[in-house]
Amino acid sequence: MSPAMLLFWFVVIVIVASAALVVLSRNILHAAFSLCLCFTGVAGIYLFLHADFVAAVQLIVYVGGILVLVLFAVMFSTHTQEGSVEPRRGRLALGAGLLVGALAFVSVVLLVKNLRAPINANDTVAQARAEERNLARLEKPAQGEEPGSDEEIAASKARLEGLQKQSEYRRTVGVDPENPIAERRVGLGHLFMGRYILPFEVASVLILAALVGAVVIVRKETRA
Amino acid sequence: MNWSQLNELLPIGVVLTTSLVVVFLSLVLAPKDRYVLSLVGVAGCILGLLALGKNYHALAAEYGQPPVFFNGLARVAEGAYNPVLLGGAFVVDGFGMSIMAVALLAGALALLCTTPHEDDSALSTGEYFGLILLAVAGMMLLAVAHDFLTLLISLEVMSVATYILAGSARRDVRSGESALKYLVLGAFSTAFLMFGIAFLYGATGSLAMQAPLVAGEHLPLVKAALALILVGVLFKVGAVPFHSWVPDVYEGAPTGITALMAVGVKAAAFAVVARLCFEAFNMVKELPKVINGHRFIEIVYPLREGWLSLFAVLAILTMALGNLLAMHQNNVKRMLAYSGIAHSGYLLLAFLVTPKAGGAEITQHLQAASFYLLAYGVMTLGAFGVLSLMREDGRPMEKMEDFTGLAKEHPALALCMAVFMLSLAGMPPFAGFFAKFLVFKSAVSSGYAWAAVLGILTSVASLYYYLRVVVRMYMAPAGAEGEPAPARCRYAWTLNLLIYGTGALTLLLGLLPQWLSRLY
Repeated sequence: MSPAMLLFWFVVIVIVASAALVVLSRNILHAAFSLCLCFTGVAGIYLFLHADFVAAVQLIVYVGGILVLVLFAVMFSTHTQEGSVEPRRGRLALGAGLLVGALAFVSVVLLVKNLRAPINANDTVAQARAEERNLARLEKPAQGEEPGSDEEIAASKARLEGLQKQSEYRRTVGVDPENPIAERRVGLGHLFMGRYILPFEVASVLILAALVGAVVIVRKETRA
Repeated sequence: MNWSQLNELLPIGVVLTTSLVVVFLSLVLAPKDRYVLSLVGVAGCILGLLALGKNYHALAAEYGQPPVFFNGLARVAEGAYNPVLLGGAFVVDGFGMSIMAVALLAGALALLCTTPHEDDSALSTGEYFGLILLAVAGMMLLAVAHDFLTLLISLEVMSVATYILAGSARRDVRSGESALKYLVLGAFSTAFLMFGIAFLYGATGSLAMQAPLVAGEHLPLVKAALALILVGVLFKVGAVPFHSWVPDVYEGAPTGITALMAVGVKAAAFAVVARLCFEAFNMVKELPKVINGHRFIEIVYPLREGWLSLFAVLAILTMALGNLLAMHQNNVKRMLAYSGIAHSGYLLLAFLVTPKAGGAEITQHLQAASFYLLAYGVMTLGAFGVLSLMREDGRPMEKMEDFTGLAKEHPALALCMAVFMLSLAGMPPFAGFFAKFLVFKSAVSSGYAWAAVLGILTSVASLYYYLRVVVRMYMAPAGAEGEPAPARCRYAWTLNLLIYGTGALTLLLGLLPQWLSRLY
């Protein structure tokens, strides 16, 4: 096992163990701190996926921002002595939760088991070119080669048509051409300021709605 | 990128700007002048409608008729009009515009409904009106969203604003309960939606609405993704397996907000259902035939016949359960909540489109759906408007008994309420009849006659509980149970005007349905 793999499994174990602690801990403060560990571990997973930008955002926003707020809220609102949270009753709920979680896990694993990076438009274009050459060879064979049978030519034509259609679809749908990893952050900026500028801007409206909503909820009633 | 495309977003921009203006205006206004804020908000909604009309006319002048619905590649190929804007983030078509109009109407009514609640200070602050406008902006964006990122974010804008609005009547315990239930279940459903979108991106590398086109060998994952997305959206619609939140949330929220949820949120969510059904699920029918051995060029009907029967079953269950449970309600607001569930069922019938359907048939289905949404919106808004006028000593009057003898006290209001009830039941001269007729017709034309028959049966049964209100108003002897005295507030004339307007529109849409269909 390579050192990277060892590190990966370490991060995975940390995430799962701390997540379990969040749910099972009876002290809400311990739960909050375990959540911190869990978020940090997830940032590690993002690093393993070469998503360094997302990892940094995860650390800044979740660990640095949201979690500190959670801790503040916990410390301000409740007395955090041992056992301040009601002990859990109902093994049935726990069992049902575990069962649903296991089912979800298995189905996700089955679904993404064979997942490969989506084919981008350039791939299909290249494949179509190859098929074009193949078709040309079948129709007009070079010296000393057998011409293709009618079925072979028909099949090749159909394949070519399909490939051309596919590349058209892929262009329409906008499957991103593969970026070298180093340029991912630059690509992200371009996407935010280009194709995804509308959702990017609407996100600020979302934050505005949340802010105004927070004011509505915490405001003191002004009139008796 | 062509920035003049942003012009198409002008109606949404107007609403957003108004929401900011309202919030800032509340800082300088004295508390007793707060009613001005709601009027400014309504003015914003009207301006939004005008901007929408302007855009519509600009499109109509240029292309003769704006496209009813952007249906995938077909439109691009024709080259006449490419409504996909900002790299596919949104699309401006007749369907989206009609949903935007419904959202604006709902917003205007919600703004006006809340002015009578002066006893509750939280309901007349600038933030409250601002949030209503933000929710409307979210609905409008959702109506035109054309990639899954825009869809998710605008859905969240709409939802976050409505979660808070539902709980804004802080004197009322039920309001808090309503907000909490809506928030917890809503967040749960959004998680489904996000998982679906993540799976879809993982399988296809695209967030476009047509991403299932390139599903290829990841078809099972894409199917799972679409099913998860559908769960998230059907929750917002209130279709049957995901309906349990509707009655409590609708009953607890302030009446204006209930109207906003029943009409605006539902219309926007149905816009998403339409985009999923007619683009993400169905557009791939034009793909070339399966080619020997080449796996990634197979015909992809993500949920093919399977999802059609799924929709039919969901529609039937939703209609039946909604109408059945509405019969036992003694609270008119709760009754209208269950009736809203039933109407979601009727609307789902409009989305039963056979995979072989051509553009003309899809257009017919979409027209049925948007006519239904408009008609349902108008009559439901009116009914909630009447309900929010009914107050005694600052307490809402929502019980069946409270309607006793309303016809004697306020004949005009009672007449309007009777019109809304009969129209909701689908009686002939009113809008509700034509809406149901169109929906049942489209279900029959795609071979789901049995679903249409069941729909007609349930809508006959629904007459029972709608007529209960009418009978109470006109025939029950008053006096024995106390005279109802709906207290009218200072500015209630605006709300009255809106109620009479929706009443007239309910009649007009029923008498001259072709007037609307000429628009597209």
